[in-house]
Amino acid sequence: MATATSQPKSVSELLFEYGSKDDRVCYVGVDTIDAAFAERHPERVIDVGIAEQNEMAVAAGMAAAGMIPIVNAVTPFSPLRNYDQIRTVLARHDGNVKIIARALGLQNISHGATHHDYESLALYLTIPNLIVLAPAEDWQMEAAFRAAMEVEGPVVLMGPSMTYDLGADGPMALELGERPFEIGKAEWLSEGADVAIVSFGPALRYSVQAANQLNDSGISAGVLNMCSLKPFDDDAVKHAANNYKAVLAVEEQTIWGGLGAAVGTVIAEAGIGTKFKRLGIPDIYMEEIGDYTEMRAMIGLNAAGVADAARELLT
Amino acid sequence: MLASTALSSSRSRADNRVRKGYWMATQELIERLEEKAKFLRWRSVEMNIRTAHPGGALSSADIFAVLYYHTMRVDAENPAWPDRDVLVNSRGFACEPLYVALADLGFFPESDLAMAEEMGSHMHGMSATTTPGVDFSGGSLGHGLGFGVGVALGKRARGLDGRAIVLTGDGEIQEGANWEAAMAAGHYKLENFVWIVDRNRYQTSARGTEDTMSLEPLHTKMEAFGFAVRRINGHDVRELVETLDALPLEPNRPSAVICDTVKGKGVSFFEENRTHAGRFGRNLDTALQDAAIKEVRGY
Repeated sequence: MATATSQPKSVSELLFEYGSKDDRVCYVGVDTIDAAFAERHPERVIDVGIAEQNEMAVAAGMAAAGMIPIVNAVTPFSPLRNYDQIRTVLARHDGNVKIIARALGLQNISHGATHHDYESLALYLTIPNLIVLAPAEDWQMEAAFRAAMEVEGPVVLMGPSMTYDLGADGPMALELGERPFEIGKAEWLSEGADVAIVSFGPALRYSVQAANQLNDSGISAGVLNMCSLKPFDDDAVKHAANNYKAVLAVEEQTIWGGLGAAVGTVIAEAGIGTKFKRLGIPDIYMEEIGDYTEMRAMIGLNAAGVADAARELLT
Repeated sequence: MLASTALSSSRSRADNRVRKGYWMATQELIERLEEKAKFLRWRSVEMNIRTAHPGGALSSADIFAVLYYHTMRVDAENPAWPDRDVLVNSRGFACEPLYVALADLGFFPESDLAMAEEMGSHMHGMSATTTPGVDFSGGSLGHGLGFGVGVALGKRARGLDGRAIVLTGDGEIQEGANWEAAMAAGHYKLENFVWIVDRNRYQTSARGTEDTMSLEPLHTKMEAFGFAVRRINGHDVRELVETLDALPLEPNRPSAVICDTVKGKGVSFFEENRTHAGRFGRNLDTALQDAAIKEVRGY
């Protein structure tokens, strides 16, 4: 277990650890390298340049030759540019590849809509044979990485959270220590009775903040961290629908085809009657100018916006 | 069983002789491979699968014959042998000669060929890893070259023997992903990487590639990306043997072999009617099939 001074390992440190004990582990990047790993194992660092399609095809080929590539995927270009390579070349060939998807959601807000990730989750979810994980924070990132390495097949890790922009709203305000990670299992960060807030990734931070605000104002909110998105934890969602007055799905992704769509589908297919809402990026290109805090506020993706949506849903 | 005739040590001796210009393929070898090419041709037409592409199947039959009966080191008893040559049949279609060769070499029973594309078969209309001996699921054009670059990089990182051999069509090269992969092959000086192009000059529209989206000067483009390039007659078995025996064409560079071919090669009414041969997305009626087999096989 974690001691008071221990810290979770970063992806870079994990790459170094696994790569040092297994010479099949390699790094594949797009105009990126991992400096520490490259210094120790230069022959196992491949940088394909600014070429996302080739990145995934090369990783799949290396896996076919027995390597275990750790792929640095820059969202949204992965999976927008290389969706076909991930689907047809990598996952269809069951490549033993771990994709580290960085810059999720609206992290790159100032770059404009070219760099906004509206739909990476929706795209990843449609790919057969691809396990999709979204660790909430750094301890879970390490645990999820280790779980992914136990899988002989393609896994995308939507993280690491340590690179997430916090914006003006600050940290999650919930200390989550070292804990095991189980693929296929979501995680209740807190339980309540009125509203279940179901979220993942960057949006989980302000979902927790919103739950704190709601609890302070007398509304009992629980937070479900959907850290395993595929396989999806249907049972956790059914628990939310059966035991709360309302279910609110919050994601820093388009409302189409992502978390909210999956949560709503599970509830509907289970025949559970409950109040339900998707909160996410509406069906727009975000062309206004503003920082990460301001732009999210505009579409209700912050603590106040999530809390407001929950209150409205309960009335 | 080793499908190839050469073991590693004898291969390197042969390579040295090629480089020094001493070596010539024996007439016996050439005649044997020509027979194999003829066999792949008529059996491909006989297969007559629903998604048949006889134009491309016939244009690449000599290439497949030389690869599988001479150049490549593969093992039907151990298809996953790490040191094997890995063939990436990128375009996926025109896979009939590949299926026939794999069956003939013992990767699966020959009786399976009659079941291709039928429920329960392992053979798709586009070659895929469901079939024993097939290392790449092709068909979505432009994916094979990058996959092959990865195989070559992986083999190099692991110190494995064997090469990544990518066979593409020519129309397929219009896909942009090929050029990302070509850039990487040149950059990483992948000596164990070979790009073979079946340059039959026709694509689905049945117009020539040069009227659709011109590829030439292909040789120059490949060289600019770092390849050592040879352009040969893809129906001349001797040229194929001597070129592929000389791989890598130059040290510290990936190799590319442009095989000039004729779509529908070996069947006169395909060769003469490129539109017909080029458009094959459907199988042949019995009369055409019989005529084609008769012409290729000679009886």
